[in-house]
Order: sequence, then structure tokens, then C-alpha cells
Amino acid sequence: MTAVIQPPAGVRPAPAVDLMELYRRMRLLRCLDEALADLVEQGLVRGPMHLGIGQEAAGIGATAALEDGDLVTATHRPHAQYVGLGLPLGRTLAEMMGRADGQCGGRGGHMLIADRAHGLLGPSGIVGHSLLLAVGHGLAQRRAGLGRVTLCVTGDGAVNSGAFNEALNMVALWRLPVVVLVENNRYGLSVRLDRHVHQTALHRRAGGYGIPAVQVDGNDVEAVREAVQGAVGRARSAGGPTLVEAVTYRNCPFSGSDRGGYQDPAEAEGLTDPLRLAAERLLARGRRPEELAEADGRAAREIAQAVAFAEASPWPEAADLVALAARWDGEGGR
Amino acid sequence: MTRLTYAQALNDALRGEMLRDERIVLLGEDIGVYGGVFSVTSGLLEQFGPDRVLDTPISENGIVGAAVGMAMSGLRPVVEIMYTDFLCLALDSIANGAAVFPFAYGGQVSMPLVIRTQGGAGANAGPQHSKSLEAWTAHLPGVHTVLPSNPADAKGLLTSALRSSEPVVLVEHKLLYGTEGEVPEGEHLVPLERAQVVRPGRDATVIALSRMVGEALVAAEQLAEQQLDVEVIDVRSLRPLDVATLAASARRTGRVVVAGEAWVRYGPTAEIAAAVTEAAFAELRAPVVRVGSLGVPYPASPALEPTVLPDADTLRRAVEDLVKSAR
Repeated sequence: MTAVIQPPAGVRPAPAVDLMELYRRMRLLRCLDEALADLVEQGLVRGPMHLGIGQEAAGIGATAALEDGDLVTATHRPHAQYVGLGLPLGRTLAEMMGRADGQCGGRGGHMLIADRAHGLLGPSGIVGHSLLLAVGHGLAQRRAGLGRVTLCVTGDGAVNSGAFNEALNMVALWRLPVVVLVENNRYGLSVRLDRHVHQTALHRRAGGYGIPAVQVDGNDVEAVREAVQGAVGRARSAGGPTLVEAVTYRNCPFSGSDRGGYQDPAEAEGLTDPLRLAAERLLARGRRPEELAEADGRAAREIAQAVAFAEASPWPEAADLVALAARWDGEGGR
Repeated sequence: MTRLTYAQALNDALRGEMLRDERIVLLGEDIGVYGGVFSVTSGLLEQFGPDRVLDTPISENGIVGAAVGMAMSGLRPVVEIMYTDFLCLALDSIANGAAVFPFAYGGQVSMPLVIRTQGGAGANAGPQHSKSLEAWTAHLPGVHTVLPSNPADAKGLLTSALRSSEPVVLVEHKLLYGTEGEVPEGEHLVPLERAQVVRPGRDATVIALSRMVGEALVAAEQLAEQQLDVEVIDVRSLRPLDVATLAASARRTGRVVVAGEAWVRYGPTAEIAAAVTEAAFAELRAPVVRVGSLGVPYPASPALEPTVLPDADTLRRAVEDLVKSAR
């Protein structure tokens, strides 16, 4: 895919994460989502569940371009950020199961796991929120003047929200250190991209706000990282925001309640699976199949351990909620 | 003490706290160069510069949503939403954002966010610039909704809001901006959860919100001529609601009128009436009476608006009828 603009010079190098490590993270994410599909089936994880199978490269590639101290805002489909930022997955799974050891003590669930120590502030289940929060983080970061950046993850569905327009204008107007990653998975729930937006090349929207944009193959983890790296470098050196559109595909249901029937099977056949693409590239560069198998096995074991940790975690204390209501409303806190 | 208008008192609070706390950043439409449509932020851009006083685009949800992010990032944003009616555009960022993240994220973030807005009718501003929608934010657990009725409380409540780590919606009243009153100089804090008895009385209690406090005081003077001694309480904070103060008065007088500008059905007066009834039922000598706007949108015509909006006369009649009907 073509870059609309060239990244400027003077970009700081991203931390050294090689393709093998990116592959390992994507495999971990795939294992997590596959385990979650089972946990939902077993009733151990309840409520809506938005998996990202097929979209691993976009989120993993983007977070690999960040440095300590940067912030990330995310969507209702945030697992790539959880894995990409290195959240402890036992606690993360505990949160998704509503257990006491979850990062949010079971109050947030799978869509609302913030982790301040890992720069995740945070995901939201409302389409468009990640854009608005990023404006606020960007304002705070610009004021602090420490060269910190916010990665705002959003999707093709959100580009049609008012929040997108309001946020894009503000990050451009105030030259905020924000990188907007549009994960274009080509469906807003059941509605295909060309049925919910006329200009399907979403990165072209950025021109209207006067900010640079780039469209990349969202299934190529290195391409995503490179594009986001360029954008992060520009933001860090006070060059303002960039929009990166990563074109990918959701190769799983929208959520647990998805009745299906709207995706054309032919679409999926022509797809490049991001893990397969990375694996082929690793082999072509001289990695041995056993190394990949070893990485796959390690990821599976890590997720199995995380699931076991979460299942062993106790339920949170409901008395905390009663105390909170009393603090807010006194005796009328019912 | 110094004599200030309500708008000047708010300005005084903002200036004092901005000097004290560098994290405070103001953002809103027309608040910078223009000094605010109601002049509340007058002179602050000149004093504190464009990094702390931001003129924003007309993007209500965007401004509040950005402020939620700023609060999570360690700043203390103060958003001005020019009319309560426009707050409708930002309800997502309040109800799904500010009210949710500190809870859902398990206490990893606090939400020191202040939203200043103004509502109320009486200026012939028509159906999209006159509403009283304080019940909408007061319905949200974890969000403070406060309504100053006079300049001293305007300064004191805003100052307390600027020191809170929880979201506060300060609902000002468009007809009060020009009213004058004695305001303490220097630091002045009014708690965010206390009602105030502004006129003690024995025969009936009028529990009033915002501009209706002044109307209730006028009615009380008229009723005093009929030998009726009316207590007037300024609710000040809709949430948390100071049920103890309200119920104590209800027990003393046995007769209660709740007065606000908002529509009666599902409005703030309904909640207050229910809370007082629950707490003081045995001592009440008649059902609690609610006074609010007629259940139609606010009309623009000066000939029509008075029919919709309660005033001192409405309140006086409500108390007279209540006294007649009480056991």
C-alpha cells in the first residue's frame, strides 16, 4: 500500500524489538483470544467479548513503536494493547472473569482494563472515546514538555462518529503529540466498510484536518510498526499528530452475540494471516521452524498459566460497593 | 467581605485557585479572548496565558471528553459549557466517561474535573437556551451537582469544586450573574454536600434550588405579613443531597414545599420530596408539595414564559394552600 506522505527525518529510533519478538507477542495475543473464546463458551467469562483474531499485527506493531512514559487509549477491542504493552495476563484474565485480582478489581471487565504502570489510560466501550481521551492526554503531555506521546487506537467504525471529527480537529489545531491508529477491520459490527462510509480510504480523511496520514498493510506487523514509529517520532519532536490507517480484517465474530452471516467467505480466503506472514518472513530470514514452534508452545503455556491464575482468583468483595455508595450519598446511597 | 456580582465571585474563585494550583486549566467556547459569554473568565487569558485558558472549537462532547483525559493525566480541567442545554451534547463524556473511569479502572485514576454551566429560564431565551437539566447529572453516582444561589456560594462552591478529586458539575443561573452580594475575600470554601438554612421559620419549609431561593425569600416576606413564619433552605448540592438538614426542618415545621425551576416530573424536586418523605413521614402534616416549571418546553415569548416558570407568587400560593390543607 502506498504512503501518502513520507515520514520526516529526525525520528527517534523505537526500542529494539525484532520480528521474532513481534511474532511472539502476536502468538500470545492469538492464544489469549482463543482461550477467551473457550472461556466464554464455558461461561467463565461473561458479558460482551470482542476478540481480535486476524487483527493482531495492527495493535502489536503499533505498541512496539512506543517508549516508556508514552500513553495509549484503546477501544472496545483492546486485547492487542493489553498484550502489546506487556500487561500481566493473569491479572488481565482475572479482570475479564470479574475476579479480585483483576487490574480493576472486577469492576471494568474485558473492555475497561486500564493499567497506569504500563501506560494504558485507557480503553473504553464507547466508540469514539479513545479519540477524546487522547486529546486530553496530548494536552497534558504538551504542557509537561517531556516529549511523551499518546497512541490513540480507534477503528473504522469510529471515523463516522462526531468524536472523530471533534478530536481530529483539536489534535491538529493544537499540534498535539498524538498518533491516531485507525484499525480498519472492514466491518462496523455487521456493516461492511463500503456500506457505512463513502470514502473507504480512511486515511484520506486526515487531509481535511491538515495532518499527515499513511495507509499500511495492517496484517504486516513490521509495516505497522514502521509507520507508527514515523508518526511517534514526529509527535515526539513537536511535529504534531499523524493518522495511520492499518487495513486488516476481523477473522472472528464481532462479539459473543454475533449471529454471523454478513461476511463473504471469499474475503477471508484471500487474506494474509498476520501470524503466517510473520512466520514465513522469519523462516525466509533464516529462523528454524523449531524456533517458531518453541515460541508457539511458550505462548500457549503462558496463557494456560494465566488462565489458571485467574480461575484461582477470589471474587471481589461486594461490601466495597456498599461502602462507596455510602461515601457518595450517605444513608440514601441505595 | 467585599461586594461582588455572582459572575465576579466566580471569576475570583477561578483566579485565586489558578494562582494556587498550576494544574488548573480552563477550556471552553469563547472563554479566552472574549472572556466568556457571561464574562466569568474575563481577564484570565491575559493573566495565565493560552496554555491555561483555551478557547475551544464548538465541540461540547469533545471538550468534556478531552477534559476527562486531562484529569486522568494529572491536570485539573475546568470546562465551561455555555448553556446547560448544550450539555446534552456532552452527556456521553460525563455519563460514560467521567462518571465511569475512576470506578471501572479500579481507582487507578481520579477525576478532578469541574464542568461549569448555566441554566434557567426568565430571559426569554426560548426552548433551547432556558432549561434546567441538573437532574440529569445528579442522577449519576459519583458526580457532584451543585447550584449556587448567591455570589458568596458561587465563590465557595467553585473553590471547593476546584479542590475535589471527583467530578463536579456547577450549575450557574443566567439571571444571577449580575446579582450582587457580600463575598468573603481570600480563600472561601463552601462544602459540596451541605444545604443551608437561609431563613429560619416555624410554620412551613420551602426547600429551594438556585434562583428559586431568592424567590422563596420574597414569598417568605409576603407570608410573614399573614403571620406565617416560613423557613427557607438552599439545597446548594443536589448530590450528595443533605437529607439530614432537609429532614430536620421538615420535622420541625411539618409542612414542606420543594421549589426548583426544572420540570416537576422526574425532576430534582421529585427526588427531594421522596427523600424528605422517607425521612420525616411521621412528622409531616401534609404531603410534600412540588413547585416547578409547567410541563412544556420554554416558550420564547415574554407573554408566555411567565406561565411556565414559577416565581415568588407561585411559591406563596403553594405555601398558603399547603397550610390550609394540612392536618
